[in-house]
Amino acid sequence: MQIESYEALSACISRHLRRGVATNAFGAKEAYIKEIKEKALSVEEWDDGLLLFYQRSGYQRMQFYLQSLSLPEFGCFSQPTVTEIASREKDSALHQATAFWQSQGFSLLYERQRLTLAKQTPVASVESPLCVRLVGPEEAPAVAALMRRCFDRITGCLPAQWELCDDIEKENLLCAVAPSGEIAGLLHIGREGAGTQLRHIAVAENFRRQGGAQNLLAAYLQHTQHARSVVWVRPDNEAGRQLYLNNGYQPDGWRSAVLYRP
Amino acid sequence: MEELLNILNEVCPGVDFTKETALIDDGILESLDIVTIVAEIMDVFDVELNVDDLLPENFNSAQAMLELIESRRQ
Repeated sequence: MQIESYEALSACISRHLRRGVATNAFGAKEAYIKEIKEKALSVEEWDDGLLLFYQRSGYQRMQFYLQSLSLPEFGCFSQPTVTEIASREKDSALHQATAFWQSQGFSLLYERQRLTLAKQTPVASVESPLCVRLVGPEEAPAVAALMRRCFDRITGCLPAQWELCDDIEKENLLCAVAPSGEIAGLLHIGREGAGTQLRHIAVAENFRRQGGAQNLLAAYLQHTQHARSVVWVRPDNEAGRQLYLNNGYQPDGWRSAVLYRP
Repeated sequence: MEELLNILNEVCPGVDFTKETALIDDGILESLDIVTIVAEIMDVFDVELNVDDLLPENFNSAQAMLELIESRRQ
């Protein structure tokens, strides 16, 4: 069922905010409203559960509220579906939910670890030929193209076009620009209350080892007034891990499982 | 307040909830904790909360949570 209004969604979710619920859905009202406006949000609801589907190009992202680990018969997995379940060691209900989705045809693609940088941690920039600045609206296509080159289309949490434009307008995208004017790198910021999330950071292959990532990171922290920052990183992303750890990020006990159903 | 503190200590042990005023902003409580706390509050205090109540400012301190509960009781 496609969701037509925030009020309808709010009523749906509120019915499932019950003791013992397992969920990976923590969207903010503003984000839900945008998805609804784009006609990108649909739900499947039954007595003991609610699934939220966010339509993306060629696949859908899924979030869930489950009171019990069971599904009714429905056909909502007719297209590739990805979901991510973040938890700490103590969140046993979510570990069980991860196993449950695997029993429903989802495969574990990889796990990610969350790193946190305490607020007001200083991060230095380095000498670099790349100039870091905010992305302008006219640069959205170039930024989107660089994102598509650097991240997986389905599991890379790539923003939809409307989301990208919205984030540019809100000054949530920084770029590193080569002397030629080419966009050599990007950093995508997510806002979470008083803290921020480093959603994407990438430097094009031909511009690496020039200080771009370090300067994007330093500029991001300065731009966000050195608010507390979190980043999710794959264990096999050694370059990324070293960048974060060298700048003071620390594992904070959160891990996530990225699940995919073709 | 005591019932609320019991809930909070169960969800996140080792925090002095009588003093902290930036539980969300400082990352002491996470989104997942808020969902758990909301479910517990509805059960223990017999109040109706909904997704609109899941705002950081409602959960930055025990006092803010108590005010939210009181507002829903009225």
